[in-house]
Amino acid sequence: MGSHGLKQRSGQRFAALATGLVVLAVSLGGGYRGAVAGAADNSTTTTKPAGGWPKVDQPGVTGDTIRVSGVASTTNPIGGLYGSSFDGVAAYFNMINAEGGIYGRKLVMVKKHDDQLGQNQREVEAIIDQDNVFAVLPVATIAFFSGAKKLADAKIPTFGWGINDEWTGPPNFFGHLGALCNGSECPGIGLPWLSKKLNKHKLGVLAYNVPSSSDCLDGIQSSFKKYGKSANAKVVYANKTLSFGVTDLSSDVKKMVDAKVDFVTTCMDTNGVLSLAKEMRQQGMTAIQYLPNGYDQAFMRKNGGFFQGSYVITQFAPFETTPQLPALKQYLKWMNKSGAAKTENSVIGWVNADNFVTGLRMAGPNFTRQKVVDQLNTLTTYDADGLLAPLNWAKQHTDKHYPRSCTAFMEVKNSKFVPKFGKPGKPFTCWGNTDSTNSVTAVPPTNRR
Amino acid sequence: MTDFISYVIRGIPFGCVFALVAVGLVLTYRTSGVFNLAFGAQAFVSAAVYYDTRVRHEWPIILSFLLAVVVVGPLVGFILDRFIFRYMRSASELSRLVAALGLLVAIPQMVQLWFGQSPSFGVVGIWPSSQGSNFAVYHLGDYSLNGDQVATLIATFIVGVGLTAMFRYSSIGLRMRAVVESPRMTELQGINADRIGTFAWMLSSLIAGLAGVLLAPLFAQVNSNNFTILIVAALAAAAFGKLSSIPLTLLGGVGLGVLGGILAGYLPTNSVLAQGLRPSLPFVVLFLLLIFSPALRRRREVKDPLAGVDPPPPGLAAIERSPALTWSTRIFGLIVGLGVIAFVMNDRYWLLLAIQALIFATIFLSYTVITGMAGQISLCQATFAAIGAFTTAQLVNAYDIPVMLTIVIGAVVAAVVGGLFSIPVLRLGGIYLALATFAFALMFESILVPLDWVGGGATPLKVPRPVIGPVDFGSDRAFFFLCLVILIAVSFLVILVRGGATGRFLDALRGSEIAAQSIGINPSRARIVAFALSAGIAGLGGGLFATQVGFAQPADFAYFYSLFFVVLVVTLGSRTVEGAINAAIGFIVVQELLKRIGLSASWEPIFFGLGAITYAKNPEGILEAQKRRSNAFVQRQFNRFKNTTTDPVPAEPSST
Repeated sequence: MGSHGLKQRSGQRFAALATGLVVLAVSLGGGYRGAVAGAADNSTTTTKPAGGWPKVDQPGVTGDTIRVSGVASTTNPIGGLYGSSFDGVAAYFNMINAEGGIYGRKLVMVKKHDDQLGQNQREVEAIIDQDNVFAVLPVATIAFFSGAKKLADAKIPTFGWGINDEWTGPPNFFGHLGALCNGSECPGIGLPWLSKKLNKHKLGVLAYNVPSSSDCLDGIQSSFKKYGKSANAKVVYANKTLSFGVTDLSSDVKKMVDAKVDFVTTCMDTNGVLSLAKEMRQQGMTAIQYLPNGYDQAFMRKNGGFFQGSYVITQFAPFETTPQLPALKQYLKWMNKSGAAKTENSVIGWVNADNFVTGLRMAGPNFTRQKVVDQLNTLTTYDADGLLAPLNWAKQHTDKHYPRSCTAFMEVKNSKFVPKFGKPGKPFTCWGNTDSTNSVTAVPPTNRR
Repeated sequence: MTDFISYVIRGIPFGCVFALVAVGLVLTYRTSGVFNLAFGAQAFVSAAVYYDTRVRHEWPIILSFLLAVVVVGPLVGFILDRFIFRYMRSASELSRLVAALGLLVAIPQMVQLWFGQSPSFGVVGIWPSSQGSNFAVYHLGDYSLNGDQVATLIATFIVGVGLTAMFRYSSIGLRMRAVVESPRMTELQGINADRIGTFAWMLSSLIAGLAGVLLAPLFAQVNSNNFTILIVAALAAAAFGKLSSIPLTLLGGVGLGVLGGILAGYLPTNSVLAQGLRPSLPFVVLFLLLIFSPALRRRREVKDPLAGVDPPPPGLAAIERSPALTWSTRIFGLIVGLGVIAFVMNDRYWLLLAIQALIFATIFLSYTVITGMAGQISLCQATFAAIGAFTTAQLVNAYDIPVMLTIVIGAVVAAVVGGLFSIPVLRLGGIYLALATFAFALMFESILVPLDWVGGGATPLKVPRPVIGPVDFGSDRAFFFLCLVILIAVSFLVILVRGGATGRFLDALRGSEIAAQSIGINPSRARIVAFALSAGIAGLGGGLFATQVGFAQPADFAYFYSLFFVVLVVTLGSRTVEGAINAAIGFIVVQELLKRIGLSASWEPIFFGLGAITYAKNPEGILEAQKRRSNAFVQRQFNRFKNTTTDPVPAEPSST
């Protein structure tokens, strides 16, 4: 997430490595697509001018198509399947094409490359060299985004699941989270804030002994070092020696019980949090779990009994937001039409496609790759019609510490997610610039789309 | 004291998990002679069937259980025996291990094609109330067990007692062991070895199925990787039981769980010792057992006394063919190679693939040394590659040393580590050496890679392309030629070593270690050299790989790559330089072919996994065997042509 967010990026990446995609299955519908701040009007891209659409001499652009390719971890031996990102892009393209496309051209997904496990450099080369595309989307990689440099050098507009550091910097990269800053450099305010809100004072943190997971634990400890006093909460038990895969948590739970831990958070995959929940139940530990990677309807539907009262978060407007956001209705309508599963990854794919189309509209009929990039980087407020908390693309590529710290909280009740702390139709809780303060109350949260 | 007892008791249920799996491994080994690393894959089959019927189709528990464990489990065993292992009874243990490795790689992918990649949450056990608010917890004083743990405890006890009784008191137990020792001798006694073997496989597969269904609820999803990890952790318990004793294996499994509980209880959290020891406990125990257990060190491979009637493995095709044919092949190869270079120079994508093939070929040459020449299976070559890559990355980032120099230093460090590692494991042979290498790979991954000064932490360390004097290898074209030169140099080194004293010593050692020693060959020295050289080559490839990708990241060198690489190289050819190059080309080209014809990438491990089964028949690799056949064919044609052109045609008798 952004510079002061609750969800540690490394934790996200660990989740990516360890768990696979997060499935979000909801039954919502509707239809509306709102305008994007700063973007050209929709009609200007669909109404054919008198002299016809101008010829565009750009890679991947023909008289009637704009071609794109993407790369996502679709198959690999350790789980972490990001293939549904393609579904979100495809659904969005279907919607745009049904409206007449962009400047008389249909948006076409030429090829869906499979990253497998860290093969994205090779696949990126294939995209650049063989696919003849105008832009690259989605990019959703399970491991390091090793093809980043090639895409940055090629200056191709690139949109994706931006949880790795590689997304920060290149002006042609548009990850769904903007700039990334985590760990001790940018301690997150959200978890201490949540502790205070829930009146929890003693935190237990568990992580695996793999770098991305233990890095996440270090980040949480830094957060409480900075904000703990203000939140009246501290980490009383931390363990980052757990083995990934199968691990006995009985001793850890016993120690947490002895330490009177009342709030538990993990940097673990679904296997880990489920094992922990079972062990807590066995030992009668009643602390609340905070699940940074737990927004997964399918998982919660099956295991919700273990997580009653737990908290989860998202960096996009959750499906449970009421009243339902028009953009979400639109997403669900077109996902239903395609018959694809509605998942966190497909939402991000949808957002990536929206970001791309926004750039095309802003660039005008004589669009070029460079124009799309330049225009997007003038956007001071991009929120994918409310699906994201606002991003300032004018600053995201240059200021790692730019304050964009928003999170949507949800509580698990009866195996379902119930939005918390937001306002109707405004799911995000946001904080201002927290660099200069150690107080969770000095910068009161705001609620906005 | 109360705490101590508490930690001990809490470790027992978890220890039973290890025990159940380890007993399955030992059972398979005792009754089939196969150290079955694919046991986890078999367990996954039954777990997937149980999940599909119980959760997706809501069958009653008993029906799902019967189908998954009682029908599918033994059926898998029957198929494995009938189509694979029946024909390998007289093969070496290593051949059977390679076949099991192939199955470990192939089976999960085959099941995945049916089971699908979509999430499989809500795994339920056979205990009626094992989920959510109905989660059954049984309290015994201060301690508690959940339903799944109770089921595992009961099953482990029944399996342990039942199998011990079977081996000790029943004739079928004795017959199964006899068939492992010598199927042909057993048949001389009028025992149907095939039938006994099939029964043994069905029984062990039933235990695998039982373990799969019982242990699946430990995880959030049904995933083959979970079972592989479980098998890996249970190896130590199997080693504790010396791969033969069921009671000792049970004790080893429970002991491992208890030891883990005590360590978790007493080691200060986040201390260096806890960070290193707790997650790697099973692998450290396995490694120490292999090194220090006299029973395992003294153990020699059980060979069928009648196996000597089998013909010796054939020589290499390159040695057998005529010089003219060799030169023709070389000229043809050179022309093709130049054509490929000309092609890839004009296509950025294929250039990248060609670079990757060159680097993988370099890494695979390490198998030519350790497997092809020394006759050992190493399951840690990706680890040596990682050592090269991480050394390169750390030196470049910390000391700003020229990249090419760091790659060489990385290779040297890997060679030194390989050499040192080989010293304690020298006495081990066959599968025990393979297991030691596997334990080493897992220890490296769980103890050293998480350290910032080794793995670089959560953000991988960047590694630039080398610059040598005025030549900048930053472009792919230039880097291609650098990789090509390195591959050629390493190939010549391997050929030189193979033809030199060390290669001949290793050949002699493969034939008969005692005979080799009697003529003054020092086996320790030869094997240390082989290990060090092999590790150094892998480290060199690892450094090159990091340079090519631009990063050194742990995921690129995960332990399962070592398993897959073994399968890949032995399938295509581990005895020759061409074999390593073929394996690298195959690795890259098959992926590309699958992509172009729109097939899932899962098919690649299936192809190569099943291909590894042919190792027993063609230890030199499929392509090498095919090459020999082709050589024979060409030679026949060549001879026929020569005869028809040079032999004088007898004159027709005159009719006058």
